[in-house]
Amino acid sequence: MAKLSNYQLILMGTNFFTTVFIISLPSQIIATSRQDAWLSYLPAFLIMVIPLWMLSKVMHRFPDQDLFSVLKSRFPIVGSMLTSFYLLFFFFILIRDFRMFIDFISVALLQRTPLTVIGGLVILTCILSARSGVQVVARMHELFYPLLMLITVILPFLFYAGTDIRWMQPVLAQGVKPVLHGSWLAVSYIGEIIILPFIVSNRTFQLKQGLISLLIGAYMLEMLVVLNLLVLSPNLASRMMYPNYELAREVRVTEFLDRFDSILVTFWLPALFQKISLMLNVICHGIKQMMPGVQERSLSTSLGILAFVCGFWFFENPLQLLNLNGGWPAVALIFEILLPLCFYFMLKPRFHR
Amino acid sequence: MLRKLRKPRLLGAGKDLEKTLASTALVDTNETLSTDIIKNEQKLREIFSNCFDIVFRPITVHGQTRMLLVYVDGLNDIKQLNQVVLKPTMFEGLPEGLGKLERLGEIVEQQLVAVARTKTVMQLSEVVQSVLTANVAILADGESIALIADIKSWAKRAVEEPASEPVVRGPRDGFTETLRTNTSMLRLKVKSPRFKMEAIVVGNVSQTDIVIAYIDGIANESVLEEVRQRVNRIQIDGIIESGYVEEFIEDAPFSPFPTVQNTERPDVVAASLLEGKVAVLIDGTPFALVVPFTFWAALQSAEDYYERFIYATFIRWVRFLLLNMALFLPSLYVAVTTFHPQMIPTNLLLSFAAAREQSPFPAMVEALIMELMFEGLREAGVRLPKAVGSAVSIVGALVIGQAAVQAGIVSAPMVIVVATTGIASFGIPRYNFGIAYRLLRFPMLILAGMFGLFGVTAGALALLIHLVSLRSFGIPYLSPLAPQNRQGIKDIMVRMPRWALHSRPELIVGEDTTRVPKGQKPGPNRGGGT
Amino acid sequence: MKLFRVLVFSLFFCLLLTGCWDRKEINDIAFVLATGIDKESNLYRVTLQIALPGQMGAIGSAGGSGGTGGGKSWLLDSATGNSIRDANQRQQESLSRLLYFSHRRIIVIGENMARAGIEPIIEVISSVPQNRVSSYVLATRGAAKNALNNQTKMEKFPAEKIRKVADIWMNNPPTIKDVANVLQTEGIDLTLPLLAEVKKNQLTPEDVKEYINIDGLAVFKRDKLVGSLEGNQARGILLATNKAETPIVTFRVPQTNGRVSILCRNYKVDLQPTIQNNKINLTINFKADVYVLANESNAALGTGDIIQKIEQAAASEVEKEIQDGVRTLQQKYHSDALGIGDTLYRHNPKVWNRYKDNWDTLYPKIPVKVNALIHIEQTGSLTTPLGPRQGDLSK
Repeated sequence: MAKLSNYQLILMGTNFFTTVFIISLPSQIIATSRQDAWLSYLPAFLIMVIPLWMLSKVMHRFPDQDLFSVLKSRFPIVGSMLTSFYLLFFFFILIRDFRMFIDFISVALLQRTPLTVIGGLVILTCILSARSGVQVVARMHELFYPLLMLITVILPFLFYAGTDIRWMQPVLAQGVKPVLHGSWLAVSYIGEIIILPFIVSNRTFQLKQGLISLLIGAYMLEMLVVLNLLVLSPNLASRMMYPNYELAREVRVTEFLDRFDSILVTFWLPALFQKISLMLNVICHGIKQMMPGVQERSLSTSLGILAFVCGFWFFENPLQLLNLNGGWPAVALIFEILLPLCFYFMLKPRFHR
Repeated sequence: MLRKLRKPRLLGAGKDLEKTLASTALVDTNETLSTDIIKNEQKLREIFSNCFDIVFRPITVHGQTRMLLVYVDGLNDIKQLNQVVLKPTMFEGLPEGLGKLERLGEIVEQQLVAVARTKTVMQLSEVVQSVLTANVAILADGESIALIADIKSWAKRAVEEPASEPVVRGPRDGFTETLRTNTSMLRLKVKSPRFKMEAIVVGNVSQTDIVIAYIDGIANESVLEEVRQRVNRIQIDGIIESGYVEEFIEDAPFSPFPTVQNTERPDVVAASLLEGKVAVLIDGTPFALVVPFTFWAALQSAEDYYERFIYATFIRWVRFLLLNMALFLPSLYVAVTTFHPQMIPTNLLLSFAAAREQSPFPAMVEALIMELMFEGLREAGVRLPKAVGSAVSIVGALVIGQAAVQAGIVSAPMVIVVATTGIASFGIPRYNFGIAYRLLRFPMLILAGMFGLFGVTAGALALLIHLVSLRSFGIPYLSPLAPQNRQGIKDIMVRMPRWALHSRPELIVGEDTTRVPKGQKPGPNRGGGT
Repeated sequence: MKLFRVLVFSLFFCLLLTGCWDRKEINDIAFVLATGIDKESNLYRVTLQIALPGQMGAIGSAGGSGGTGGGKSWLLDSATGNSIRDANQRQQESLSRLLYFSHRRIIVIGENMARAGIEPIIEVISSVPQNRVSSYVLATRGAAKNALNNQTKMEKFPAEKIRKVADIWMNNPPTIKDVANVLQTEGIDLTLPLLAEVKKNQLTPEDVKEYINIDGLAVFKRDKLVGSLEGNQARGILLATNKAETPIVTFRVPQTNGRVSILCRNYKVDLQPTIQNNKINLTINFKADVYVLANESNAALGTGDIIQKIEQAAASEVEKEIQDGVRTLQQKYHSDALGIGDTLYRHNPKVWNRYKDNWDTLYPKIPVKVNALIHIEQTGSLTTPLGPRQGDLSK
């Protein structure tokens, strides 16, 4: 694939695991671990350092390649099987995020517009972005993501009056178990960061980029969950479908400007668009690695349409998506921790002594 | 899309340029002049038949040798012709008497015709060509060569202040329609042998001179080669304006955004050359083309670099704001009022509602009508003779601004929105870039009318995806913001002072990247003084 | 490539043909500014205050509407139904514009409704995203429909007046979000500002006007109204819950002949539960930096220890107010509006878990001690009152 800078990679990595996390998970995590939800995130982040480290070691042995081509060149048959498993995994994430996206738009912005029409516009924009190549996606990240980070920095100041520290006390009142349960929910989403070695091909994937991505993402997610707790209280946040959207609704700068939600949502939408585009792009790239004859550009259009159809076929309503989160980590962790572990031992770096 | 279109042109590009030139001149390339002047005259008269402005002036030197002057009336300095060609040959005669006929031309060239630029040609086609490019051809009997004297002079527009890019502070000269004047203005600004100008003739009927100007070492070699190739590839009957060339060399013909900059200002061209860009000057138009062109260059005016940097930075931010307003304001108004009224503060919303109470149109239709009316007014204002123009603006202001609102056909907030958008669209320094934004306002409006803010976001994203994937001669359109480049941002987000802009734009420049050596920040304790 | 273009065009034409689902023109919606909810036997009576922009007489849209001269700029519409949504549906049937709730700033709950329990109505109010969660919730004496039907001269709409009055009366009046939060939390009970219609005679005894103003705090037990606090008691509770908006306290200073008013510029309240011998004690620590607003006594501020005396007098006044309010809550209403139970939980979850099952019997007996610490940090531009002669000054 094309040239990508470190900066672009970091932004893409962060965007990849934060944007969807923000809408789909906080409610459930707060429901399980209540006022300790912010603690739940930490183990999830720490665990993900391990596969990232392993993958970086593996990739170090194959400079200037992405994981798809490594798999293919090392194990022609098993590798393409693994590649197709990964592709299916990513495709499922794509469908899930797509569906989550349009459900959210439907609730937050357009209540009466049919989901299919919203979905059509979403997938069209994503295809447009994906078919222009990973470089375009990366540059779009450069344009949008810093803005989103800026918002998470500003957000606490907008809430200076509305917070109540009581809602985060007492710490660990119900013990560690619910906290760990929360981490279990969070880890699969944060684990999506392992997409990074699949994107990088013009250079070797380094642990450093992954860690910075994780760090920035950790800051953003922690900031949002803490604000969720302080402003909305665990009671309300756990009963809301999209607590972060409710949080945005609470932003009041003055009496005059007290409906910021739609504007914040519009700032956040591009990030979600870009995640879907990136995923579409990676899947197309992976398929091309398996079948070199395919044209990537036309592939992304057909895949996009397929995702559109599957989005409505697999999920009937947004509640199903939430229910999915309970069992999903078990599946996701195979791809996010177990397989990287296997790669590490199969493609173990030779130590020179 | 691009690639497919280029293919047929690539096939044609292989043709020999000279061949096409000659074939249109209706003269056989290889036909040489004959020694018989009568024959030569006959042939030339045949070629120039029905050309009212071609003058044939036969003269006889010493009653023996017949000579013939051929020139286009009005393109030569008649006084000089009399002074340096006619008088010496007719009255003083040849100093050494009649020599061999072959030597006549030499003698004329060396001793009699006191003109800076002369040359001799052997072929008929070259004579024709020279005459048409405002030279005087001197033929002599018994001579199979012709002397070409350059005493070009025709009615030219004086160097004036450029109308399309006025500045408060900065040089006031603008390009004219004469290529020679334009190149001389550039040479005056860049007095270096590294400043090169390559000439090409394009247009098989119009025979227009085109000059590719660049500074050796500073210009990016790959961009330069690309420009050369694309200009050489052009096959066209005639070139009247720079726009003709632009459409052949631009990167994305179907994009609303220009990927080639045009300017009337020699200082802008000179500054661009110093950044490593390449300029294309075209005879017959005061507009020079500059490539590569980026999004940010569209938001910069020449004056940014002449004014103090703090003000320049501020005005850049204002421009950026205006740019976004020009694109988004009407669609945001429509989206917010018809899809998300909860966003508007209650009191403001109630006044909107009160103003719209009688309005018969949906907000989107109202916005479309008003925007179209505005475009119409603007167009009428540009095209109409100045005397009528003011009438149009009065009618526009009265009918649209006043009567429509009072009659309740159009709501007052909409008029405010459209007027603000109009003003904002004029805040963009590059006219053709502003046009792109004005056009995109309409699809954005339709998206806003159908999906509200979500539609606007999707539209803005599609637009950005397009901008991000656009390239101008290999340079990403949005660079140095995306892909990001720290040095470049110093001249984008802000306008850092001159002494801080150490290097030329990284992606554009060739080898010589240093613009300003470091350590020149002025201050009281600097330099060798007290 | 081709597929993509086909997709673009098909979507485009689909859109053009089918149109816009969510689009609603401003002049097709009715902006609800306030909702009043009453209970009549088994039915809910919902009263809506709707803005009439046409009557607001905007410039430009004139066309002979005659400005504000005509009627009121708002409309009151009331209907009953089995649920609030049902009642709204009834109202919609008679309205030519679509009801739109996003600009509703206040919700007034009638007395009957409040006594019956407000749990079911909070749900309806906050489930639609377009609704403001920042709408204030107020209770009223009598019926909510009357509270909304009260013309005001200063503001365009009664709803606006009520909102602003509430804003001045207390700091951060409870919003839907706050109400929902309190209802869901154990160990804390709800209080709402209480509206009441008051008859005031202005210049002459005959010139009696009805005003709507805030009369005190409505006290709830769980979600049911149990009573109200007025005057100083209400202010005491506001002070104790950190909700009083720059409170002014007026009191008599010992050894002087008049009253002094202070303005609490900023104050801090801290509830400190302690457990001794299995008994819960509560200490309320009140700390304030104050400004002497008016000195109608003969106390010369600049001399001696008169400042300390004023500080002490102010502290005992504040202590008394808080003490009074809390005692009434504990003994008369058994309502834990301070959130003593919640505070206990935040401080010591284990103790709370032990006591929470019989909290209702325990709560009224908890001894509450108030410690007020007042610090005068500004005395204004006078050191000595201008009225009294030198000899009459108390030093």
